[in-house]
Amino acid sequence: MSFRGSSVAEPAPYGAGSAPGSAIQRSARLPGEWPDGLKVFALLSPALFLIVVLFLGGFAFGFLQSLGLLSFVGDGSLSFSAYLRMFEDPAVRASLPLTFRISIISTVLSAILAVASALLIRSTKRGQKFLVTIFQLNIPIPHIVGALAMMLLLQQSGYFSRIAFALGLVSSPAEFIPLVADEFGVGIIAHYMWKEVPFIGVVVLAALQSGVSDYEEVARSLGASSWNRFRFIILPFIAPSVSSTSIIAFAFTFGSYEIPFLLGRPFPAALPVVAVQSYRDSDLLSRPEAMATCVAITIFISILVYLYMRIVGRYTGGVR
Amino acid sequence: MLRIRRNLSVVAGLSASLLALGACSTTAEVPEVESIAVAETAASYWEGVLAEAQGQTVDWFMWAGDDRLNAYINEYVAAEAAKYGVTLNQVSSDAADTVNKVLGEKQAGNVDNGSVDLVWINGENFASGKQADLWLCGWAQTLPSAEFVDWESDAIKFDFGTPVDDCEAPWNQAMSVITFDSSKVSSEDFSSVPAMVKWINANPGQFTYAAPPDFNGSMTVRRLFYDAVGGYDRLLGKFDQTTYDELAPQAWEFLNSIEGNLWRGGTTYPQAIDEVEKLYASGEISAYISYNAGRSALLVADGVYRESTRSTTFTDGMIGNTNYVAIPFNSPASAGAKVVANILQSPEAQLRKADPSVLGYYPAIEMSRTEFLAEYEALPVPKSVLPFTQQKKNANPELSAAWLDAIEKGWIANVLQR
Repeated sequence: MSFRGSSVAEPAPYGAGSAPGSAIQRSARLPGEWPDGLKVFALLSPALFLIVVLFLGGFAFGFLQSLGLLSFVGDGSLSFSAYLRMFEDPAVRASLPLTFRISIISTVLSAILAVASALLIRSTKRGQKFLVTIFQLNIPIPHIVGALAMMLLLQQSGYFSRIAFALGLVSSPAEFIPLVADEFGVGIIAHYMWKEVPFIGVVVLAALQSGVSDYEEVARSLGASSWNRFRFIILPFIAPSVSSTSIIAFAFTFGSYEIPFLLGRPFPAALPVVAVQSYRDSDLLSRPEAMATCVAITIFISILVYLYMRIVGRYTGGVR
Repeated sequence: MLRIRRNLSVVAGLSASLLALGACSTTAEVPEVESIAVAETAASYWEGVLAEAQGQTVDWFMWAGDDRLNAYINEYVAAEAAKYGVTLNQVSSDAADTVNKVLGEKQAGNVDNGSVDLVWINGENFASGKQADLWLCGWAQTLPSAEFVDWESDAIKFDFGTPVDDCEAPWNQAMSVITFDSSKVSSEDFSSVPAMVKWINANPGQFTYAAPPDFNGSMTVRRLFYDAVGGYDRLLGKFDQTTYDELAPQAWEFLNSIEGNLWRGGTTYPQAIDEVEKLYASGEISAYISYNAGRSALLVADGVYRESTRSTTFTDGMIGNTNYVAIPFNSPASAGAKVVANILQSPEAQLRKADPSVLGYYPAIEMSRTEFLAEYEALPVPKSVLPFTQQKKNANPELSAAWLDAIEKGWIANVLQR
């Protein structure tokens, strides 16, 4: 286990464990020392200000606008008609299967690949450090850069298509299967997997460092098969990391705009793309519908975040 | 101002490349000869304006996001205005905000001491100001430089479908063109919409346009819409639902009929003009339509586009738009503003502005009516760019914002989502 403490030390920023946060809260609560609490509050206030004013404030404005209030046009009375219009809009209806398909497939495949990769990397004896470095190399690369790389590789005039043409597999680049702006969303899913496999995998690797090998040794000495060791020892160890990172990945893919915009179609488009389309509509009457779509996305993701907190809480006894 | 700004970025794109001006102008139109009596009245009227303008300060509200444009205005135009005793003060402001400012002044009863003397404007901002009677009218065609303007052209007379009615003076023009790869397509294939359709059907997958509301895709759809409904005459002016309902189905039927032979069999469309440009650069498509008339030269120079790239227009014209300067009704320096507008429109100023090394903005006047035609035609034009005089032949007008919106939404529902 030579790589511990080096490259795998980073998982904390990805939000897998809640330990650092809860530690602060507990140590700060000394009897009679409320100024300390005040100090913590003061230190947190810039972050709280951002969250409360920018996120909650923005959400509140958006919600009011989705109800037809604070609008530049219309009669300014409260109504839920924007939500009804949203569900009748062909663009929204067509986007739901696509959005769920992209998020579910990319998250599930990423989680499986990430666990497999992490176990494989852990089992290597030599060059492990190098493998880990390679594995997480793309984590700091921005999504936009990744999406452009996907386009260069996958589009019909891209490298894959040219290689296929050079090998005589297709008679012209235009005959290459469309993998970008395709009907199924292959390009979008490929991009998300490229980004999420290392994200989930790095957190799983970190979890595998937390003493699981001792249990494995014991099980092995007692004669447990490799499947049983995986099923009853490794899986319970990594389940919290896998489920929490998967939920983060799912929520991100569900609510992200730039990737489905760059690699997808104008119709059907992912839900966030539809929201931006109606927000940019020069007819201000479609503003409430744009806001309604954003509110729906936010509520759905909030539910996922709640599930995430529950899962993390169950395993750490912390957040509830 | 959004619309101006968008067009401008297009125009600005041209600037480096520039070009487009020039070489073969064939449209020398002779201005009508005014009667001597009228000419004298006009001359004494203008002398009165000049006298009144002496000592005035003109606050010109405009988009000021282009350093080269600001230099042109603050160094060249301001110096010219100073010769008439007029001080030019550039104020950076969004056109929509400027309209709201004047509207607020009008509501507050400020009828003769407004803060805005001149505004750079077009499209819906001009239209909403006109609706609220914010503009001084009846002056643009009295400017001495107005003789160089083709006031008969629909592309000048209508500002995105709104009649100009002598309430603003043209300053720049932007034109759309067809960019094509001459190694695969000939300009005859794009001599008209029917010729283009014939070519599209014979060469499946080689043409596409960005999905509206992309600015350029929307323009392409409008141009095809004009052809499908037998011309744009009935689309000018205010939006009319009955006319739309009567005409639009023909356009959707037409656009759907060519869809199967577009890029990707029309199952999807690029989302923005830059995607269309990439498809052209990579050879997936062989032609497209855009407002970026001079941009292809930049891309050829950079090696992104093939050397065989050329541009052409339909013989019955491409869509163009003009941007203007208007004077608010309550400007305290309206005479000075007219003097500045006249300078902007003067052949010297328009020639200078058209020079790629200065700005590269297309002239709003007919250079063939001026004594600077030779200089203008001597400005460099790369092979991939059509001379501007040819670009704007039979120019088609833009439509009002409500028409734009209806056609964009109609396309989404009847072509994209069908």
